[in-house]
Amino acid sequence: MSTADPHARLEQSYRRLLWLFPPSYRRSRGRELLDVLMERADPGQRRPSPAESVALLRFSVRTWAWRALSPAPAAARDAMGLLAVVLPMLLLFPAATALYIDAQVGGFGMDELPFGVDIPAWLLWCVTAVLCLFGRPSWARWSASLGVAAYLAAQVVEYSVNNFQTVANALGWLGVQVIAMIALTSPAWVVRGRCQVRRWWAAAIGVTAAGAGLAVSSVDYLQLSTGPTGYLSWPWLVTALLALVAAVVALRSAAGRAVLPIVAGLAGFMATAKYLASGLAGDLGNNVTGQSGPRGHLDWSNLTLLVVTPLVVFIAARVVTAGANFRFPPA
Amino acid sequence: MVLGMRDVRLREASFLILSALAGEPRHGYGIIKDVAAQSDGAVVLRVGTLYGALDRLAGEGLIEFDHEEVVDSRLRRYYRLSSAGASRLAQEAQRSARQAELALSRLATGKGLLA
Repeated sequence: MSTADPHARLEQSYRRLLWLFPPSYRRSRGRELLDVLMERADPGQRRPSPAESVALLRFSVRTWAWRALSPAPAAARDAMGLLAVVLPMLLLFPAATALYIDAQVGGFGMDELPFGVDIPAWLLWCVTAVLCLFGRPSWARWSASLGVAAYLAAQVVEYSVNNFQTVANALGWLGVQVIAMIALTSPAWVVRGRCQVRRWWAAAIGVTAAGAGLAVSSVDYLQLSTGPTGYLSWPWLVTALLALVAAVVALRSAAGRAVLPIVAGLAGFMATAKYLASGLAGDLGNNVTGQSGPRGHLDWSNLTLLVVTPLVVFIAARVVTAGANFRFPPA
Repeated sequence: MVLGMRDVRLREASFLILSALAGEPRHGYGIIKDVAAQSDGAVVLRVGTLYGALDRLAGEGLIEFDHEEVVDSRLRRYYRLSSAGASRLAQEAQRSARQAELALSRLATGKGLLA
């Protein structure tokens, strides 16, 4: 084929333009595009018209953008499933922390909390969420696993220096991370917004949540009457009511039904572990006011977190549902 | 006014492409020629524009792949209207017809015209 041939020159020019497209797109549609371009060309045309070049350029940019922002449907569906676990997980940590502060630290607020490695672990879960959003499920699993391993290693170090109380207080958060990581490595649990949790896992989650509910909602723990500090512990009550409303509303959507057992299970496990472990460490019963027994405390920063978190969990569940339904409508 | 997905109007190019596929499955160049014929040459689809629209319409489930063949050593991939595409096109055509009818009836009364 001689380049003096106008037909051949035009074809070469189009081939060069097609290099603007992603390789996978070029492989699947390149020949078809080229043949239509050549078929459409005027007799004797030697180079692409500016309008056609601009249209191809625009189309290639859109294709690249679409490829970058929209991974393959299977990967995106997987990522949506992972996100359904990771988002509640991310939101549970501050909620549980707030509950913990509220019950234990009393009037001293959040500054007294020994955050330690909790926040870096939480940040790694943020990275996991971002990776899920960008449709990188395998990377997300690695990120989550790395976070849990680092957190576990930190707790081992704490244990080795006889800091038993810190280890005991971290048990709940560690337990939640391990459960979420197990969920992440089993993406078939959440498929197209439908819950596919194995029955015995669902039963275990239900029992855990029920047990935690009983423990947390006991009259003594809730401090529904005026407590020793003179405040009513109504943040707990408000949170419980809001969580109940969010749960009932979430049950109306398929993904909500998938997310809810996970949220309830994680929250229940965390509350139970914090309650039991802290009690075992002799920490919960001796708070900074020097008076025995857990008590509630009205603190606006905690209250805001407590009130907002269940709503944000609900909104996150709805966003995931909407995203999954929009991109993967039920067959 | 809140619009649902089915209430969002099709772009002119998308409407003409769906209309081109309403009669029979067509390949890329066949669609370009039919769109030009439908619009009396007013709409000239560039290949980049056509394939962008085809990808979008396929993503929305309005068109689907039919078959492919090689003619004169050129690959021709044919596309056809899906059932969702047919109902969407019918809905859009009826809306356009209603609006055109209304506009024509108002023009017939002539009250809005300058003397």
